[in-house]
Parts: sequence; C-alpha cells; structure tokens
Amino acid sequence: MSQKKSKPKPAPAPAPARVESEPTIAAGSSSAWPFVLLGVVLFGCFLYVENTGGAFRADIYQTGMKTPPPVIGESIEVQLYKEGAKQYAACAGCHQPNGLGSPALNFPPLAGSEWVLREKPDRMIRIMLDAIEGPVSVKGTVYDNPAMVPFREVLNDFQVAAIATFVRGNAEWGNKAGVVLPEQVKAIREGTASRGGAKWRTESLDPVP
Amino acid sequence: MTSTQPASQTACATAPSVVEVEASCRLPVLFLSFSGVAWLVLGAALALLASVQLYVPTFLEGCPWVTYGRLRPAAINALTYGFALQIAFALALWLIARLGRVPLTNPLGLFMAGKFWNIAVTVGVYGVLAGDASGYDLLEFPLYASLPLFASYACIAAWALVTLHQRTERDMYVSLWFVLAGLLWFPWILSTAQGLLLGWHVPGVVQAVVAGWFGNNLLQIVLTGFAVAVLYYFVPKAVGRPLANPALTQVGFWLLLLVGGWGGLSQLSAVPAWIPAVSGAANVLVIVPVIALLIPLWQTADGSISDAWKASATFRFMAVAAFLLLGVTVRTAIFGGHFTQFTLFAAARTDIIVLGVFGLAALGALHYIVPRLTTGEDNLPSDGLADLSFWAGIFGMLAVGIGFSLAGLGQAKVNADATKDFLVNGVSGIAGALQLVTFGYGALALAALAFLANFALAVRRCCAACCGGAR
Repeated sequence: MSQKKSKPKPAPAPAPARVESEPTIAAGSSSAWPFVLLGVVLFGCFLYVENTGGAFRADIYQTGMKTPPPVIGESIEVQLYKEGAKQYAACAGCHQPNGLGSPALNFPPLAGSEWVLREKPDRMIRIMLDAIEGPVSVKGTVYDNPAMVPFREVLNDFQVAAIATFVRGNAEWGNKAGVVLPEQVKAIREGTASRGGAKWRTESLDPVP
Repeated sequence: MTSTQPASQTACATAPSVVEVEASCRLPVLFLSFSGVAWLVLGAALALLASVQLYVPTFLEGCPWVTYGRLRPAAINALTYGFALQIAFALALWLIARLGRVPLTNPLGLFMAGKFWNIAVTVGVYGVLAGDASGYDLLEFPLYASLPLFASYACIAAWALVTLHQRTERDMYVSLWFVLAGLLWFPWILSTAQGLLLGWHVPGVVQAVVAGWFGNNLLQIVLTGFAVAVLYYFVPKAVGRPLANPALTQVGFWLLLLVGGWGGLSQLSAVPAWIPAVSGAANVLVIVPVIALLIPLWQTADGSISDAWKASATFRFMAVAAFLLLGVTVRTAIFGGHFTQFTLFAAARTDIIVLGVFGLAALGALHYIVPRLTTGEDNLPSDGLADLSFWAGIFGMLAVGIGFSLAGLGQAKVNADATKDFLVNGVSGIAGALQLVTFGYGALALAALAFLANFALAVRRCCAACCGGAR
C-alpha cells in the first residue's frame, strides 16, 4: 500500500484529471413513509395468509382450505368391519355367506341369532375362541353339532373382534348389534385361558352376561 | 467503524492513487468481465436453441445432448453462474477497490480463482448436457462441478473481503453494503441448498422448497443486490450529483434483506398451503424495499435524466435496468401465484433478473469500467458497437421478458379453462410469443458479441500503446 501521500482523509483523492470523484451522499433525514407503506401492505399480506395459508398446518395442502381435510385413515369401526368381511370366509363354510346357516345340515344361523345379537358380545367371543357343543337353541330351533372348531390359536384378537363386528353389525342380514373391540377379545381370551380349551355348552354359558 | 481504528491500521490507511488501484484491478476484473460476457454469448445461444424446441418440437431431434431438458438447464446455469455471478464478482472487486480506495489483495490469486470458476462452470454445463444434471432449479450442476465452483468462490470472496477490510476510505458507500451482503449471502444459500439437496438428500417435498428458496434468494437478494449496487454507483456518477435521500436507501437495504428471501415459493403446488401463501405475500411485500431503493435514484437523477441519457451509454443501461427491476417485481407480485403455476411465466422471472435487471446494469457498468482499465479513456473505442450493444441488449431483453410472460399467461388461461384445447390453445397458440423469445436471445447474444468486439478493440489499442504494437 502506498505510503507516499499522507493527506487528511476527508480531502478528495489527489486524482489525475481524468478520474471523476466517487459518488457522495447528500445530507438527508429519515422518513417514516416506507414503514407506513410496509404496514399497509403487511396488513394485506396477513389477510392473504389468513385466507389461503391453511392455518400453518403441515397437513393442509390445498390453498384456500381453512379446515383440515377429512382423515384419510378409516375409523376403527370401519376397519374392523372390512377386515371381518374378509375373515368371515373361515365361518362361511358352515354358517353360509348369507349368515343363515343350514338347518338341514345342522348348522345354526348367525343372522338374527339371539346368541349373536345380545347386547354384550361376551358369549359370542367365548364361542368363537373355544367353540360350542351340545344342544343349542337358536331362533326356536335346537341344533346339536359337535363340528365347530375353536379359533383360539387360529385368529388373533383383532381378527376375532373383526369377525364379531362384521357378524353383529351386518345390516344385510338384519343384524344391528354394536362393535366388538380387540381389547374385549383380549380380556376374555386371557380370562378363559385356564379352561384348557374345553368347548362351551349351553349350561356353561348361562352365567355369562 | 471510522473512529475506532487502531493506530497500526490508520498508519497505513493512506489512500493509494487511483492509478495504483486500477492497476491492481486490471488482470482479475478484465479477465472476469471478458469470460463472463463470453458466457453470455454461449448461454444466450443455448437458450435460443432451447426456445426453438418449444414450438418446433422436431428441432435437433434425435440427439440426447441437445434435448430441451438438457439445453434449457445448461443455458440458465451458464447464464447464472458463467455470466451473472462472474460479472458480479468483477463488479464487486472493482467497486470495493474504487470505493474503498484500496488496491486488490492478491490480484493474481483472484485471477487464478476466476480461472477455476470458469473451468467449474464449463464442467458443469458439460455435465448438464451429458445428462448428469441434478434436477433442482438453478442448482442443476452435478456435484463434481458444484464443489469446485464453491471452492473457487470461497477464494474470490475471501480476497474480496480482505480487500474490503483493508480499505482506506472507512465510510462504506451504499453500493458496498449490497456488495458485502451479496458476497456473504451467496455462500450461505449455496452451501445450505447443496448440502441439503446433494449431501443430505432431503425428501421430495423439501427438495422443491429448498431449491425454490435458493433460486429466489439468488435472484432477489444476491443478483438484485449487485444490480442495485451498480445502480447506486453509476447513477449519481452519471448525473454528477450526490446521492439523494440516503435514509430511504438504508431502509430499502434492510427491508430487502428481511423480506426478499421469503418469496419465490408461491408457485409450488405439492407443499403445505402456508408456504405458497407466505411466499406470495412476500412477493408483494418486496415491492416496498424495491420502491424505497428506486426513489432515491430517481430523486438523484431527476431533472438530468434526458441529458445523462444522451451523454452516457452507461446511464442508459442503468435506466433500463432500474425500470426492469420495478417491472419484474410488480409482475411477480401480481401474477406470481397459482394462476401462472406450471407455465413459462415463472421461468421468465429468472431470465428477466439474470439478463435484464442484473445483466443490463452489468453491461452498462462494463462499458464504463473496461475502457478505464484498458485504454484509459472514458469510452470504449467504438461508439457504434456500444450503441449496438445497448439497443440489441434492450430489445433482446424486452423480447425475452415479454415473449415468455405472454406465453406463460396464455398457458395459464388454458389451464384455468376446461373448454380450451390444450394442444391448440396452450401449445400451438403461444408459438408466436415464443418466437419473440428466440429473437430476444439472438439479440442478447448480439449485444454481448458487440461488447466483446469493443472490448477486443480496446485491448488491442491498449497493447499497441503499451508495447508499440511489437507484440
């Protein structure tokens, strides 16, 4: 760096004639109007973001949508019912796809059955887990068929609950009973584990609500 | 800053002569300027070829290297990194040296770093044409080009900042604020975006957000900032008056940094709705700093505009660049949202800022700088070539900007109306506007060639003067 010239700083550079001086700044005071304008525009911006921004939620993708879109995932009832409709294939062999069973072959119906439509599903879950044998009265007809197999080791809690929900809530069969949740199945499965898998009979189910 | 210099620094803070300052600038600034404008020629040529394919789909058919999907990114990246940023470095170095009254630190190193920058851009453009493009807007260079690019930038910026630190004029003029902001802003956005996209491999939705954020910051803050720095240097100079209303300038500077970086994402679709909403709001909000930055310039030049227009080629470029800055800001604010989504309208913003707002301001600045660093005269040797460069640049820029904007609006109308036929209205119907774009790129290449010819004449005259024509 040059040490030759030691002029005081405010003085203009000792420039050769052809070099213009650098731009300088005029004296001036600040003004407030940019901030006024900024405020006005900002107000409009807030309105715009309020109306189109989806409340800053990560799950709202569509501009202009103020409330979240319907949940993509289905409710537990619908999931259980749909799963049950699939799993019912395991039952349809005897109880038939229409749930009417086959009185001629000694298969009791599920549609309109008082065993199915009880307010509490406790008896139905027990029968599904460990099966039933001996004479059973369903819709005024007595069936006695030892062929039912226990599903305790075949179906898990969710699947049992799903089939029970499907059968109890199947409007096509005229059934309108409530949903069965996997938790209920789990409780009964654990509560009846000590019976060693013995099949139920009408008498042993009587105390069950 | 001015009053608290340690004694050791004030001792050596005597201003060097302008001759000394310019001598240090000569090699790096001339090199960066020349190769930058050469990239403008090449980039405009690539963009021209790409634009033809928009209405003649069979043009250059059959060769994968020159398909639209490679030509257009190659052109835009050549224009952005080869032309705009390279010229921005040249202008930054020159402004720092002149306004800081300090010779450049390590001119040879700056020249070498500039050389490496050019090699990296060449490799990047080649990589894009070869099919290695990364696929992120304005970040298409493959990793093997973007890493050397960043390294050479780091050298250029480091020496520029060291020079700035050593300045003998301690008061920083407005232009230097923008230069400093740009020099620091660019490595931040580049390293963040490349780290997230190429290193971290963020998931899909985030990729679009990161690339959009980078592109907008590059255009709205770095390149617009450098353009404003150039405007603030040359406009007061051309009219021979001090800069009016400096307080407003300060407001404009900080507001631009504050709100400028939020825009640019209003066109994204598969992202949470608040991102385009906030971004669209920022696109509107950025009008305030832009106006706050343009009003002092207008107040400075008011009354002398027609005289300066006649007298100075540089001022003519500046006036058009300032006009374009206002125009592109208003245009993006009004039409930048969902209406023009998925159209050429958005692509036009990149072109207008890179080639128009920054490009024309930079060409004007080079018409001032290059003669001073070569022949030592006030103007380039050929007035005719300077005029050609100006008019071809203006008309080329307007043709590209207007052509792309009209084409984009035409596409948007088709997208918004189910009764319109996509092929008839949206593809064939906008061919006229796209032909205008092709013409525009040609004119821009011509403007750059005219400047390069003038540059070569000046260098030849300079060599003849220095060496008596012996070499």
